[in-house]
Amino acid sequence: MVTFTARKLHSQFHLVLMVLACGLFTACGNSPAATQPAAGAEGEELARLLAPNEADIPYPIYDSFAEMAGLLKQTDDRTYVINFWATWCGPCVEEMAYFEKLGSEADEEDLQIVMVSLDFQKDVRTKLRRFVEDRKLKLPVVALADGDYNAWIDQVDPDWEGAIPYTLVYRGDERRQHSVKFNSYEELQNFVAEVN
Amino acid sequence: MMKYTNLFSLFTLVLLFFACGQPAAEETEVVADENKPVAPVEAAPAATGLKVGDIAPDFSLRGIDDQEHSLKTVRDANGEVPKGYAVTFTCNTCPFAKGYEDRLVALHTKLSAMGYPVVAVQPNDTSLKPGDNMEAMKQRAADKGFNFLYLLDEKQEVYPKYGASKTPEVYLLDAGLKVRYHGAIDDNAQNPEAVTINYVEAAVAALEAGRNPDPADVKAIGCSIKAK
Repeated sequence: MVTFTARKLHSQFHLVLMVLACGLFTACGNSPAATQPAAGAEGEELARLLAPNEADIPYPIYDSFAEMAGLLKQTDDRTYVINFWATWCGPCVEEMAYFEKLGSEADEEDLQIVMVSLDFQKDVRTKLRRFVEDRKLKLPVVALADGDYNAWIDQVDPDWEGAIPYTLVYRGDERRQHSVKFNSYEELQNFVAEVN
Repeated sequence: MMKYTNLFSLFTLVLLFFACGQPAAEETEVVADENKPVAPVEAAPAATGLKVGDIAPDFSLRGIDDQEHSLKTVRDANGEVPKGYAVTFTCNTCPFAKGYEDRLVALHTKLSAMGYPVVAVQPNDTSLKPGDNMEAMKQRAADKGFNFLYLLDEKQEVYPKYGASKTPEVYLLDAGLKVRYHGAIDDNAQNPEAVTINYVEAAVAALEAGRNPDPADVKAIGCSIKAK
C-alpha cells in the first residue's frame, strides 16, 4: 500500500474502507449462518426435489423450472455441482465420467452433484431412462422438460446463454459457472475446489 | 488526527473480517479480484460478443457452392441489396439445430423475399466434428433442400467476434449491420407445431414497421460451439 500524504488521498482511502466495510456487512447479512433454516429442513427439501415423482421412472421429471428451482438455492454449508446435460449432447456425455468420479470420491456431507437432463420432452421417459439404466448412473438425475427456455435460463444465471454442457457450482452465495466441457477430471476437481 | 481515523477504520474493517468468520476469505478474494489472473475457463465468450445495437463485422467465408461470400455481396430473393440479414450459426450435428432445418428453409423463403435473407454459418471445429465438415455440409444441404447460403467458419474467427456460443443462434442485422435481434428462432425448439412466437419473423416485422424488435434478445438451449 502506498503512503498517503495528501489530504485528498486520505479521504479517498476512507471512502474505500467504508465501501469495503459496507460490502462486508452485506456479505455477513447474506451468510448462510445468519439466514439459514435448520439443516434438517434443507435436507428434506433436497430429498423431496430429487425423489422420483412418477411410477417406474428412477428420477423426477419436472415440466416447469419453478418446481425444481430450489435445487439452485440451497443455503446449507455444502457445495452444489449442478450439471446441465442431455443424452444427445456428445460433450456432455464425455464429461459425465468426471462427475461420476467426483461423486464417488467426494464426501457427500460436503458436496452434492445433480445432473439436470434437458432431454426433449418426448425422450424423458424413454431414451433418458434407458441411458440412466444402461450406464448404471449413480448420480442423482433430474429431468427438466420445460421448453420455455427464455423464461428460466436467466434464473440459473444471467450470464448463461443456454449452450450445454453447462455447470453451475455454488456454495451459499458464492457461485461459479463453467459453460464449456471439462476436459479432465482434474479440471473439474480444481474448478469445484475453488468454491469450497 | 487523520492517522488515527485511518487506524480506527482499519480496526473496524479487521473486526468485520473476523465477524464474518468463514466468508472473510472469499471477500478478500473478491477485493483482490482485479489483480488476479483470470483463468481461461472464466472467460465467458458471450460477455465479449455483440450486443443488440452493436455493429456486426462483415466476413468472407466459403460456402457449400465453393464460393467466398461476405454480407456485402449477399443479395435477397429479388436480387436486391438486402435490408437486413438473419446471420444464423448452425450445424449438421446438433439435435437442436437439426430440429430447425426445415424451419430455416421456410424462414429464408419468407424473409429473403422481404429483403432479409438467412445467412447460415457453421462454426464448429470440423476436426472435432467431422460431421460438420464441408462435404457433410454439402450433403446435408442437398438432403434438406437448403435454399440459403451455408458457410463454413473454417478458421473459427467469425463466431467469436459475434460472441455466438451455441447452435442454433441468430443475429438479425439491419442494412447497416447493426444487431437488431439476437437469440432464438422461435419459442419451441422441440415441436414446430407448438410454436406460438416466431421471434425472428416478429423482429423483421418490427424493423419493417420502423420499430425496435421487442423482445430483442431471447435465450434458448443449444449445443455449445466446438473448439479446441
